[in-house]
Amino acid sequence: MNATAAGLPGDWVHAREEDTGGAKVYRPWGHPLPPSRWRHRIELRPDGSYVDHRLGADDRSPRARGHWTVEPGPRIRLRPDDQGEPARTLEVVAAEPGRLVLKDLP
Amino acid sequence: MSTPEGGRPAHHWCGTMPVHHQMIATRPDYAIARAAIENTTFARRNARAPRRREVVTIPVVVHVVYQQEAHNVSDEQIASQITVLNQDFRAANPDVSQVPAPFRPAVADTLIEFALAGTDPAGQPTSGIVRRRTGQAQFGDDDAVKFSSRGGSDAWPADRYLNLWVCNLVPWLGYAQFPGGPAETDGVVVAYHAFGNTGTATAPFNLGRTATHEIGHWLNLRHIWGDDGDACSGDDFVADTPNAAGPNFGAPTFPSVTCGNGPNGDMFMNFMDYTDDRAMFMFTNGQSERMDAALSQVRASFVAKKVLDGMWAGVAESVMRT
Ligand SMILES: [Zn+2]
Repeated sequence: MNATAAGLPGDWVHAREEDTGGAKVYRPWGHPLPPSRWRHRIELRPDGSYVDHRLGADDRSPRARGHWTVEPGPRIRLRPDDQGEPARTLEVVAAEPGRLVLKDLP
Repeated sequence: MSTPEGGRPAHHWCGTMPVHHQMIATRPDYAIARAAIENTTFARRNARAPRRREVVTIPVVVHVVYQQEAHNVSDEQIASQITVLNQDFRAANPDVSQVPAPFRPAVADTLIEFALAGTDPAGQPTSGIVRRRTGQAQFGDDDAVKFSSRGGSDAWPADRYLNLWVCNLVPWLGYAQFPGGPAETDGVVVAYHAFGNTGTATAPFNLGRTATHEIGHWLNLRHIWGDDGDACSGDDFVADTPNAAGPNFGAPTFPSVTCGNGPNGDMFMNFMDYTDDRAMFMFTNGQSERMDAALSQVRASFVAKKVLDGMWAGVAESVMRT
């Protein structure tokens, strides 16, 4: 965490209806959204830990935990606690109160 | 999608399996059971095992678990769900006519039907409906609804009944358990507002397709995108569902191309995608074969012996029955 992390911590849910240009728009958990079979949710906690609510093959949401850091860009680096899982990087396209826009980087 | 028949040795299954992380990590016996089921499923396909020709009827017990009376779905709504299942699994749903021409040859009548149980586990007559008032305002995907001790309703014996729980499920619409898991949690869970096609059923999930989808899982079907996020490397172990990237939502327009699967694109109208109820209306022959494989082994207790013998006729002893 550092100064560029302002606006990033939070409990975020994918508002796919608002997506544009390959980027994913997230809203705070609890934000009114239409019912759905599933939405991605990620909790970026202020203490540097995260909970990634993934999509299970049986429609449950298995939770993957790890730690997140902010890198220049800014980018979010997700390092899973499970050593067998690869780290992931997300580009922060926009971070505003109540709205976070992320793009998956290869 | 899947590699061509016989193109993938069955023992590679573990390496390509994505999730049920939680259960596999905490229950190694479940992981072993799952691997054995997949091995038998592949082996039956390679051996060209006989397909079932007789209809199998699955007895269903519906557990309605509610805190608010508004969530106590009516007998009529429950009946509407059973009707939908019997249409969807028999390719008798009126909207099957909307399947795009290139996918029509793949449409399957799975020869599976459902009926509310007429006899309870003690042998007494029953409506097949259990109603339980609870102190729990809502339930998540942690199986609590399946236990009286946690505010839910205990499962009926999973080898004789398909357990279907209806409750105020949050935040999504339903979840399932694949064959091979613990009997006390075996079955499917559906939110009261996505159940049946009348009463509390709410658009765009008001045509009973959530239960169709979840029961597909209960009979060992996987999502058509292969459960690999949005990548193109996952597999549903079925040959006639095109390789697709991630789940489709809403009601896409045909064709919707991903993973180089043109010109026909994703089979987003398949019950095992994530589209709205009005946008999904088919199982495929490959999916039907996979459900048959489940009924021939891990779900064999629902199949009459004579029918079961027919499903194994001429199949080498080396094809292990799970
Ligand atoms: Zn599913």
